[in-house]
Amino acid sequence: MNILTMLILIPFVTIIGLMFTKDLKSARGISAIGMGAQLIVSVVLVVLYIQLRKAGVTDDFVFQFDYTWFPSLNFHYFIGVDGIAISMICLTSVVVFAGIFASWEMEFLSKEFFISLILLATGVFGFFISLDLFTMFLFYELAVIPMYLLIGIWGSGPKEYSAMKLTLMLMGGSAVLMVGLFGLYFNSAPDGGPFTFNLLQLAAIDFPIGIQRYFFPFIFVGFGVLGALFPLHTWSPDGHSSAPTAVSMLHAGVLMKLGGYGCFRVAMFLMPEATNEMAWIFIILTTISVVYGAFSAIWQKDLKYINAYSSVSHCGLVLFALLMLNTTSMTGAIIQMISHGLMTALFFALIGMIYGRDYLK
Amino acid sequence: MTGIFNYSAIILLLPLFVFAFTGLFGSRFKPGFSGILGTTGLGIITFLSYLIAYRYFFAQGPVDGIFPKLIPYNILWLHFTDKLSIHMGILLDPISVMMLVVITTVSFMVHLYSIGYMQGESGYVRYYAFLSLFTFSMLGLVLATNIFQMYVFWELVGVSSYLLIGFYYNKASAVAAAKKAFIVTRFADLGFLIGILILSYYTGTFDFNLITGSDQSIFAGGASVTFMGISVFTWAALLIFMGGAGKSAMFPLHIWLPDAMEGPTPVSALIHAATMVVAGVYLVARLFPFYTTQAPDVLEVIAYVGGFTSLFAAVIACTQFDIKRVLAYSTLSQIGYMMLALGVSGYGHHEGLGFMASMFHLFNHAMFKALLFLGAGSIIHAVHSNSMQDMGGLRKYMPITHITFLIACLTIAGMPFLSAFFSKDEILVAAYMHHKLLFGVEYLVAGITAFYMFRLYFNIFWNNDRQYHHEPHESPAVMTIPLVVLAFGSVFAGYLPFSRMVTSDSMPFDTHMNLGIAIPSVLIGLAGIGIAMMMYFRKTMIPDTLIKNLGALYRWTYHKFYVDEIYLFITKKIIFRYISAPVAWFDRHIVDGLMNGIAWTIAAVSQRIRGLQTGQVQEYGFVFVVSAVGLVLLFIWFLV
Repeated sequence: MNILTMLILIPFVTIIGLMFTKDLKSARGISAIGMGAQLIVSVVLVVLYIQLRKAGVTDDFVFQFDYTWFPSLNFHYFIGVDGIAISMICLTSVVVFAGIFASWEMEFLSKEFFISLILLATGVFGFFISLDLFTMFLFYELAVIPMYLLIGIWGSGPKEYSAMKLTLMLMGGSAVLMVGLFGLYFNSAPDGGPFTFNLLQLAAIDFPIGIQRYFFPFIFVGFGVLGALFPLHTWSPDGHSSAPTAVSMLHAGVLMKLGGYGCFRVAMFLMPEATNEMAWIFIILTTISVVYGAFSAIWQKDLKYINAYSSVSHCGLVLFALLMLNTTSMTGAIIQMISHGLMTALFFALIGMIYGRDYLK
Repeated sequence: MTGIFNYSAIILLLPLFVFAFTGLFGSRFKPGFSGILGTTGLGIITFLSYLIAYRYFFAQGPVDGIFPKLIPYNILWLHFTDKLSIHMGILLDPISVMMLVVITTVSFMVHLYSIGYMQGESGYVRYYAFLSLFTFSMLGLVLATNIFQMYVFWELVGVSSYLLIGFYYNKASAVAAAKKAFIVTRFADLGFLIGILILSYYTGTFDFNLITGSDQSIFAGGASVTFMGISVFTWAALLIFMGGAGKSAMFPLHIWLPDAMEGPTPVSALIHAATMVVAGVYLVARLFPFYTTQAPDVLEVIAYVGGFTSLFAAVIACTQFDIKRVLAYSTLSQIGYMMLALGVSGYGHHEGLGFMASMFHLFNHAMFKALLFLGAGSIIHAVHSNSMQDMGGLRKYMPITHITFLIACLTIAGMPFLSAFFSKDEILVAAYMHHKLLFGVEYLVAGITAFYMFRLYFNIFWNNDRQYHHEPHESPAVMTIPLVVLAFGSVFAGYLPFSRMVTSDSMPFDTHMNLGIAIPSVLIGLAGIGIAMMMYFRKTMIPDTLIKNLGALYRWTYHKFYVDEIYLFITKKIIFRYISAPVAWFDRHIVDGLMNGIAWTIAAVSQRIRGLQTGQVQEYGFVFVVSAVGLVLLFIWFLV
């Protein structure tokens, strides 16, 4: 079996296992085992990847696997990874694994909590391995839905408000994103033949600049909402501060990276000319994000708000670096994603610990 | 030949290992274990450092008249592009080997001393873990082969300093001091980082060997580029110096150092007197060829900043009562000396006298200032107070501390045949050759230094023989042995042939005493001691009368010239209130308000539309009929 498919299958099996659990102890045990296995698979993946590269494999994406699951519209389950995706997968498995332990004492509806949490993780893993835009989009949605429940049910403070706001804004973003994706889809066969969502085939197509100009903003903004692009970042402070610890960790540590990764992999990768042309607009917006997020953070009184605004600032920096359009800055952006992912997740975990002890934050 | 140099990696890695081990597993053992582990580790690397220094300076000696730059390790760490990659390695050259000796010696003494000083403290294990972390970072800083590696360790040093200042995290003042130290130095490091980026952008390298090498062609790319009328390399040099000024607490970035005294006293001795605070001096020394060739104007700035800080801090030191704060201001003042010496120095041979003098003074200062701080620690340990108003007549109770403290005071006052006498003399000669004003200032500072040190000394050990609640007693041997060792260092370090070891171009040269400068400086020092003796040897009314007569001037000095208040005004009153608060408000009310507004609008519209669904069949029927008729009419209109 393809090792990447295991990344989807393990959480799936874990969820099924969780359905039969009765109390907190067994639920957290199964979750920890499942996500531990996931972590091991990720590490193995890294090792295999390095071996492949050492052996001289020069494909852009390795471990590819293709299965057509909706033939009439040509939707594929097409997966494959490169170094960037692998580093994101590793980041995700570390954060999820840590998140399980951060919610070790989740007494209230523990089974349902862990199911939602792992479902969320499944969406993220699926997103990072997909090379078919539709499948990618599907996984992206899969990650957003449990988020609503996790914040709305297990959150604190004005949790219903925050959960609704977060979901509506992200859904709004994905609506915009979907327009962009279908725009590419319907222009994917200039010489006739079936339309495709296949990332690699799309990359080979030379989209006319008019089309690029039209759809680039849709996709970039669609993913940008998740990457806390100013002024569409306001879900982040409320959402983060209301969410339970593990969810804040996962959300700031991993989910916000989906935005940066998507902008990079889809918007910029497929529409380079439009990127070059329109970069200045988004450079201005991301610069605002960086400075503005930092200044806002100074004035906050709530630890989670401070961290949320700092995430806005850092994710702005990631997008900013991507838009600089040179190898160094893009490498820097990817490294920044990883370091910010680990750092913020750790921060939220610590805030959670403080909160868990004296109910202050 | 290079055999021993390959062991230099151990010097770097052992403290890291000790840190990791103590930090993770230290609490499983008895607390004493981590102290012994840390001290043993430090002992081993101190020994290794001495071996390396001996081999480097004496056994191997200069090759073709020049001390070679050895790079036993240089590992590729981050690879961005072919042009941009970052290495991690070890560079051995005269200044780094000298710093190795300084850091390991002082750190070893502090580790040993802390076994006694920190005994019974909760957090003993944590303390030793952080101490090892600091030693690791500081060694990494001085051994760095490239400026980026230096920056990485520079930040690590900042972090460990933060952790150690805030060691007593239950104390609000310690937490505030730790934050202050971190934020101020971090702000300065912003300049450092930008400087590094400018420098490496135009030269295409991070490597010290290339930046400070004789090949000037790498500067060709940026030579003609200017920004605001100043060449980019001058900017880079200035910004890098900003980082150095932050760590070395030069005016106006000095505000964190006196507050940093909230940390445990051995920490103050190690970090805030002997090692970390001289990192800025080391940085300028490391890039010295770059400064002399590409940015001589910046050296001039450095000289004046150093000179001003030395005077400024010395004046404040005369008014403080907390003995650690007096020492902190004296540290500022002495580092000012070192900076000044670098600033007035030229490159190569006798021209580079200032450079040599600066490094020499750094070495001596580390010894006697660590001694002073550890002595102060011993006193605080006995009296349980930091204020010299609670002390007096301690000479009878603590003979060893008394003698060693006196030696350190005499050394810092520049008395003949003690170590600082030699280095101060070289600095004064270098200043004299460069600019008479700076020279004059340093003469003055020499007098003030002698005065405030002996004010401290007399107040602690003589003055009124007060009655103590608990009779103070001498500290245990584990604390007095480091004092004695460092006292030896303070006395004899001056006899090291420094000009034959550490010079600006790594080429040995000879120096000789300049009696015309040395004798007046000793006399000025004696005058300072004399005045202090008149005022403080016995309890007199002179200080109080003086305070009364000076009035506002005294208050001004006592409050450190209100520099802190200026900073607070800028940050709290201006940045926080007029930038951050409005931005935060704007975000919550305008940007977020817009988003909520959209949601509310949609909700309101839906509410209205919902009103159409009345549920009454008659109404639906009516609408149905009217619409059907309307549609039919519409079709007819269009089709016919």
